[in-house]
Amino acid sequence: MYERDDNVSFLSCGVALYLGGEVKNLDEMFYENPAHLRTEGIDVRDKHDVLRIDSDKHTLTIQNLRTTEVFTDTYDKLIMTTGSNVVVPPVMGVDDTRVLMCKDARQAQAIFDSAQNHHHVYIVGGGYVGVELAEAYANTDHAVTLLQAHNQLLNRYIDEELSAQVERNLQEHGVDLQLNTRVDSFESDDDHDQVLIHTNGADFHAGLVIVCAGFVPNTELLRGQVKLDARGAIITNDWLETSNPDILAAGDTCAVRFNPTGKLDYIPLATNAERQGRIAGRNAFGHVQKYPGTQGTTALRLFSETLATTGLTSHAAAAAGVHAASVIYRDNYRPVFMQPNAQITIKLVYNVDDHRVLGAQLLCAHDISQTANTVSLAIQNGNTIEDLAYVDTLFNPHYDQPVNYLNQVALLAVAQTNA
Amino acid sequence: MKIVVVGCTHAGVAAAKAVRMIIRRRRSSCTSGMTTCHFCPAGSHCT
Ligand SMILES: Cc1cc2nc3c(=O)[nH]c(=O)nc-3n(C[C@H](O)[C@H](O)[C@H](O)COP(=O)(O)OP(=O)(O)OC[C@H]3O[C@@H](n4cnc5c(N)ncnc54)[C@H](O)[C@@H]3O)c2cc1C
Repeated sequence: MYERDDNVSFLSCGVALYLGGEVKNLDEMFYENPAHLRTEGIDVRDKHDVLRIDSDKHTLTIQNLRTTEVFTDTYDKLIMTTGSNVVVPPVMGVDDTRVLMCKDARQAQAIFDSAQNHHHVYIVGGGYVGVELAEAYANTDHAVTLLQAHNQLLNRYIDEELSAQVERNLQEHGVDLQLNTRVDSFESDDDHDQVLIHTNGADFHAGLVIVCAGFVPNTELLRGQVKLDARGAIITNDWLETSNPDILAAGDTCAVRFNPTGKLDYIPLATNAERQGRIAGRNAFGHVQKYPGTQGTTALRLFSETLATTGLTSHAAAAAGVHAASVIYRDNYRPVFMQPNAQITIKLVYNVDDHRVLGAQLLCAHDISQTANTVSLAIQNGNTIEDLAYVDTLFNPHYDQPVNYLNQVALLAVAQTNA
Repeated sequence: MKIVVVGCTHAGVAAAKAVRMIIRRRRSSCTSGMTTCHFCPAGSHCT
């Protein structure tokens, strides 16, 4: 196994916890190391950069970054897990040293170090990484400005009803939210050790800018050798084989089948990477296991609230041409005599024609993250709103009302279709 | 059979471990008497 870095298994998913001071040591973000993998019989070559792949000859050209030696290796089956790179917006000045990206351990450390010296953190991009970092720095008493080009936060994950709540929550915690604000360029102001952020609206003087503009698949090594989609993500079949059956692919490097639409999409998540990796490893020996696709299920914590999502939003359904409707349920998550209590908001999206569940967005101060997993399973299994309305769920006053909130929101959907 | 994994974060670690698990399972039930799979006449077709 070749890895160009000197570490393996870095959990980017925990970066916000490190930056926010909840996890003190970045080393805790690694759950594996080369030495341990070697004891499992895996020949790990870290600090080895794969420079070229020749799929006709079944060879790789590799540089040992410790010695600079370049050599060739061969394979019978190749598993491509080269992941993704952060999107670097194509604007002037983005290479200013005060403008940082956020993905790997080195980048996380650079942000951590810079934030020690800068009280005001500017974050560009209001997707889940940008929002998590805004929360982290609001918790460390930094001033935070979040610039988002779209008219709402988290637009790929939630619709306006929930994003309005998320935005209010961030603002109540002091985050300066700048929606509809597109960064046009960065201009260095070395005299003041600052960078000027030019946007379509106001300009901002910043000492530290973190750009969280999404991810692009890292597939240059296979360009022209296997089928890629328009974004450059590797297209695989259900066995995770590429168009060349001796090359399998897994993780952020691939497009995935998004079950709510049945179409290929690019959904870079550690959950997909982990599952696909395991399946690709097995399928290197033949057609052992199919990849079941994804719902893009994800969650994030916002101060004391949990936001969990799965499947299609109403916006995404409309964009995909899916005939969808939605309902919103709001109530206390458990009986009012149980204190403390909290309001739960659930938006359920379903297909008007066949009643299949397409997606859910949940927000509550109680941890409702596992409910998104339940809906994820319902989507994967093609369940309907009627299935969800009457599925057997537990009741205990500690946890929910006599009719669980998931049944409740699905009952609303059933009532809406009957109206 | 030689399997090469390129990239060693979540997908790569999971893939390499899955490969090793299958090899371990196959070796534990192997009756060929060979000491290395490389020279085994069953090639990649063992169970
Ligand atoms: C801040 C942040 C928070 C996140 N939070 C979550 C979360 O909460 N939940 C979630 O599911 N996902 C989350 N993600 C996404 C998740 O981190 C990615 O989906 C995941 O890392 C993908 O894993 P991967 O193994 O496919 O690829 P990557 O993590 O991109 O790893 C690819 C590996 O390949 C190596 N490599 C690349 N090219 C070469 C080459 N030519 N030669 C040798 N080695 C090479 C790289 O060095 C790297 O180690 C988050 C991401 C970020 C940045």
